[in-house]
Amino acid sequence: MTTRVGLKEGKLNRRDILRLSALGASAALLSRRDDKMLRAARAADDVTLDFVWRTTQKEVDFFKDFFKNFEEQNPGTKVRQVYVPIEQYDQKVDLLVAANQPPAIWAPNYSRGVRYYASRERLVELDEFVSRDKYDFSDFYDGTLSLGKWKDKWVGIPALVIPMLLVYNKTLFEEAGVEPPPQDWNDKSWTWDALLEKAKALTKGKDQYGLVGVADQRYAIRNFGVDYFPQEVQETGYPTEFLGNTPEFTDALQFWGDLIHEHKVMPSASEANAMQAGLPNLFMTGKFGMNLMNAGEFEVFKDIEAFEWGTAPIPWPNNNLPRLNFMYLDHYASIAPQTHGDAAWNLLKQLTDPEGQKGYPIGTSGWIAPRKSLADFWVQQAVESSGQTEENVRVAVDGLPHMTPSPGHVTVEWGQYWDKAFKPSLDKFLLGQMDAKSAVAEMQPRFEQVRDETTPDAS
Amino acid sequence: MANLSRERTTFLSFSLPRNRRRQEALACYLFIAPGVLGYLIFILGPLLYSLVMSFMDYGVITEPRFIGFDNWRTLFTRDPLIWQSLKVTAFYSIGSVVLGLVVSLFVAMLMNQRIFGIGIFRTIYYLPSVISGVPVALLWMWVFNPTVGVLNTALGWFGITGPNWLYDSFWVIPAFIIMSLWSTGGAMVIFLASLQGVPQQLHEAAEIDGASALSRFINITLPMISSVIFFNLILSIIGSFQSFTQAYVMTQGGPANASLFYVLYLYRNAFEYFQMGYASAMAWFLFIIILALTALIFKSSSLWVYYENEGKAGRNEH
Amino acid sequence: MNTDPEVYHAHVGFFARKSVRMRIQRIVATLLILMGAGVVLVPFWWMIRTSLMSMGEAFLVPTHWYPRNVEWHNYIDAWRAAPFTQYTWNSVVVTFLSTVGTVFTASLTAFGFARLRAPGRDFLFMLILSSLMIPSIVVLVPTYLLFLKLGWIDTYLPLIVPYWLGGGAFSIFLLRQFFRGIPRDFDEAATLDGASFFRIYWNIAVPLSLPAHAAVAIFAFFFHWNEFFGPLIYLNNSEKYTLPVGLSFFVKAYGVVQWNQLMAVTLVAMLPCIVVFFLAQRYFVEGITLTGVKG
Repeated sequence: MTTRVGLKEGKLNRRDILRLSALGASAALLSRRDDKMLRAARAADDVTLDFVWRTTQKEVDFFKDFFKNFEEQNPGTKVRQVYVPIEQYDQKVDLLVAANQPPAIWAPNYSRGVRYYASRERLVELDEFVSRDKYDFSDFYDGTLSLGKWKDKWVGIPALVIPMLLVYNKTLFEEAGVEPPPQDWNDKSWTWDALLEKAKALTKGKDQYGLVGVADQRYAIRNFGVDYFPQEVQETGYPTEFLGNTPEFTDALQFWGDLIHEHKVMPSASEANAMQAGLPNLFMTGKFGMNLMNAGEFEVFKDIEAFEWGTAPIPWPNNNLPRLNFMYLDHYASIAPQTHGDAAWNLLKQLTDPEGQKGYPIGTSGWIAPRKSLADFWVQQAVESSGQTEENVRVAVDGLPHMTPSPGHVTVEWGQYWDKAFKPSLDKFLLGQMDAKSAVAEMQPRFEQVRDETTPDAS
Repeated sequence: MANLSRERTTFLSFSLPRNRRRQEALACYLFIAPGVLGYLIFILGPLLYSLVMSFMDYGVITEPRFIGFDNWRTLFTRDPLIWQSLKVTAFYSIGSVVLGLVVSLFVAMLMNQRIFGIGIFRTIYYLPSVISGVPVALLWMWVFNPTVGVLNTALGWFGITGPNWLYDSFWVIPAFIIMSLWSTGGAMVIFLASLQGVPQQLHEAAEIDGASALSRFINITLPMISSVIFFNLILSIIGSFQSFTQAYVMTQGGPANASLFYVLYLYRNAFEYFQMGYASAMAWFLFIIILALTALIFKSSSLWVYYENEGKAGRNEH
Repeated sequence: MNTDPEVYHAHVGFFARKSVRMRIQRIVATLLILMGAGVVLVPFWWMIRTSLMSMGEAFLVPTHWYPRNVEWHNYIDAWRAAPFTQYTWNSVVVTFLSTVGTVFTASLTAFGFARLRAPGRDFLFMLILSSLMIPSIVVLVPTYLLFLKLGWIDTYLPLIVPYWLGGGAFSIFLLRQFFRGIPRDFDEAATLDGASFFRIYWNIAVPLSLPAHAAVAIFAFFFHWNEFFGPLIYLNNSEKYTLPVGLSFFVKAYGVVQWNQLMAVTLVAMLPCIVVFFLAQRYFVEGITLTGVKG
C-alpha cells in the first residue's frame, strides 16, 4: 500500500511542473513585448524624459501628438508618457519617487499643489535655466506667478488658472421680475447684500432657491472678504496666526450661515459638497437662481435647453472689505533629482509657450491659460463650446486680476488644517448646530495644535 | 448516519502507523505549498517593512528617519481622531456585519427556491456586487441627495421627510450601512452554495415529525451552514473594518468627522499629511484589533460551528 | 409503503396540507423576491437611463425616468473615447489567467489546510488569513519596490503570478470551509481502497464542492475584471491598461464627469461579469446531495 501511495504522489509533482511551465509560457508571452522595447531604448542611447499625466482623454490625445512633434524636433530625446487616473495619480508619483524614477515633467495634482513638493525640497530649481534663457514672465498674470517660486527660487511654471464667477438663470430672473446683476467687476454696488435681496425674490420655499451654493466650501470664506491666515502666508506657506477671532471673519461666517438658515435662499451645505465630487452642477436642474462656479465648465451648460443663463462677477464683500476671492492654479514642475535637467527644461518651455498652452489647457479642457495674450483665444473657444455670448464669457477673464491663489495652494499643510481644525466645526456650523462665534472658538485651539505640530522649527 | 459519524471524531491517522502520518504531513505541506509560498514571497516582506516604517518619520517622497516610539505614543495618547475613527468604524461594522449576514442569508434562502427563472433573479441580486468603485459612490451620492435624490423622493411618497443622510452626523453611518446591504450579493452567493448542501431529506423527515418551519431553520439549516456563517462573519468583520473608498469619495469623512473611517484617516496620513510612518503604526494597530477579534471568533467557533461528521467542531481543530 | 390505514391517512393528510402550505410559501417568496429585485434594480435603471440621455436632460428635476430622446450614439461615442477594445482584450487575458490560477491553487492549498494534518498547519493558516487584516495602503511602497527589484513593473506579472501561488487568503479560506464540511466517510472508504491524498482530493473533495469552486471562480473573475488599483500602480504603458481604467478617462480634474458616457461604458464593462455569474450559478442547482451515505 505504501509504495502505491508513493507513486501516486509522484503524479502530484508532475502536475506541478505542468502548471509551472504553463505559467512560465504565458509570462514569457506577455513580457516579450517589453524586452523588445527595452532593447530598442538601450540601443538608441536616448535621453528619456518621464512625463506623468492624468487620463482625461482629450488631454491624453493632445499630449501624445505634442510629444511626437517634440521628439521629431529634438532628436535624441524621448518622452516616456505615463497616464494615470486622477485617483491614483498621487500614489503613482509617490511610488515613482520612492523607486528613484521621479518624473521629469508633471503637474502636481490639484489636491496637493506645488508647495507640497517644494517644501520638502523635492523640486528641481529652475533659476539657472530661467536666467540663461531669459524666460519672459511678463505675459503671465501677476497673481499666477507667486506659487511658482519657493523661497525665492523658481520651481514651477503655471499651467492653468481657474477663477470663479457667478452664473444666473435668466429665465427665472425674468419670471420673478428681478433685475439681473451687473457685469462689471468694478461695480461696487454689487455686494453680497445686493445678492441676498435678489436671492430672496427668487426663492420659493424648497422648490426654488436663489443660490445653489458657494462652490468650494474650503475657500468660500474668501468670497466674503476675509481669509484664514494673514498675508505673509502667501510667501512663507506656514501660518502663525488664525484670523478667525476677528469680528470681520466671524461676521462673514455668520452671513454665510444665515444664507442657509435664516434667509433660506440657499440649500444646506450638502449641495456644495455634491458638486465637488464631480456630480453635475445643480444649477442645471433649472431650480436655482444663481450659482458660484469655476470658469471653465461652460461647456457643460451647452446642453441646457430648458432655460437661458448669463454670467456676472462675484459680489463685492459687505462692509467695504477688500475683494479676495480665490482661484485654482496648476503648475508644471520637475522632481529632483534629474539627470537631464536641460532636456526637461526644454520640454517645459515648449509646454508653457503660447502655442503649447493653446492646446493645454485651453483646447483640451476649456480652462484659462495664465498668459494674458491668450485671453482672447480662450474667450473664442468658450463661446464656441458653450454657445454663450462673448460678453458673458469675458466676465470670467475680467475677474482674473481680482483673484489670489486659494489657501489650499498657498499653505503647505493645508490638508491637516482643513481636516483637523476647520472642517469639523464648519460642518457643524453650516448644519445649523452652532453659531459662528462658537465655531471659530472651536477652531482656534485646533489650529494651534496643527500649527505646532507641522511648522518646521528652523526658518 | 449521524450516529455513525459521531464516533469518528478522532482523526483517521490516530489509528494508522506513524509512516502514514509522516506521509500525510508531507502531503499537507505539498498541498499548501502554493499558498504558503505566495505569502512568503509577496506578503511577508512588505508586511515587515511596514512594521519597521511605523518607527520612522516617513513621507514617501522624503527619506525615512528613525524616531523610535513617537508614532506609537502619538497614536495612543495624543490623537483624538484615532478614537473617533475607531468609534465610527465600529458603529459601521456592527451594523453592516449583523444586518449584512441576516439580509444575505435571507436572500440566499429566497434564491434557493425552485421557481422558474430563479437564475435570473439570482443574477439580479448579485448585480450590485459586480459594479464597484467610484461610479458606485457617485451613484449613491445622487440617491442619497436630500433634495433631489431617489431615496428621499420615495420616502416623500409615504409622507416621510427623509433626513439629510450624508450630511447629517447621525444618519451618515446608517446611509453607509444601507449601501453595504445593497451589495451583499457576494455573501448571498456563498450562503446559496452552502444551502445546496443541506439535504432535502432532513427537512422532510423533520416535517413529518411535526417540526415547524422556524424550528427546522434553527435546528437543521443553521447548524448545517454554520461553517459558512463563520466564514462570512469573519470576512465581513475584516472587510468592514477596512472600509474607506466610499467615505473618501462621498463624504470625505464628514460631517464633522462623523464618517471618518479608520482607514480613511490612515490614507490621509499616508498620502496627504506626509505621515506614512504614522499610517503604518495605525495599520498595525488595526491589524492587532482585527486579529484579536478574529481569534476570539475562532475560539468561540467550537461552541457553535458544526462541521458535519465531527459534531461540534472537533476536539482537536477549529 | 406502509398500508396501515391510520398511518396512510396521516401521510396523505400531511402531503395535502403540505401542498397548500407550499403554495402559500411559494407565493410569499415570489412576492418578496420581486419586491427586492425592484429595489436592487432602481440604481441600475438610473444608470441605463442616464447612459441614453444627453447631459442636459440627465439632471433635470423632477427626474426623467425615461429619456425623451434616446441617444444611442452615447455608447459609440463613449467606446471611441479611449482604446476600449484594446483594454477589453487586456482585461480578458489578465482576468482569465489570474482566475484560473486562483481556482487551482486556492483549491489545492485549501484542501491541505482542511483535510491533512501537519505540525504548524493551523499557524500557517492564520498567517495566510492575517494577510487580509492589514490595509494595503501601508504595504504599497514595499510591494512596489519588490516588484521593481524583480523587474516586473510595466508587465502583467504582478497581476497574475501572485494568484498562481494560492490565489489569496479569501479563496483559500472559503474552500477550506467547504472542504471541512464534506463527510469523512468518503475519505476513509477511499483510503482503505488505497487511494493517494491527491486522489481523495481530485476524485472526492472537488466534485463534492463544485458550488464552492464555482463561487470562488465567480469572485476571482469579478475581482480581477474590476481590479483598478493594481493595474495602475504596476503598469506604465497606457496601452496595457485594463477596462476599468478606461472608465477614468471620463473624469476631469476640477471638472464635471461625463456621466452619460461613463455610465454607458460601465454598463458594458459589467456584462461579462453578469454572463459569467449567470452561467456559473447553475452549479448551485439543488440535487447535488453531499450525503450519499445511507445510515
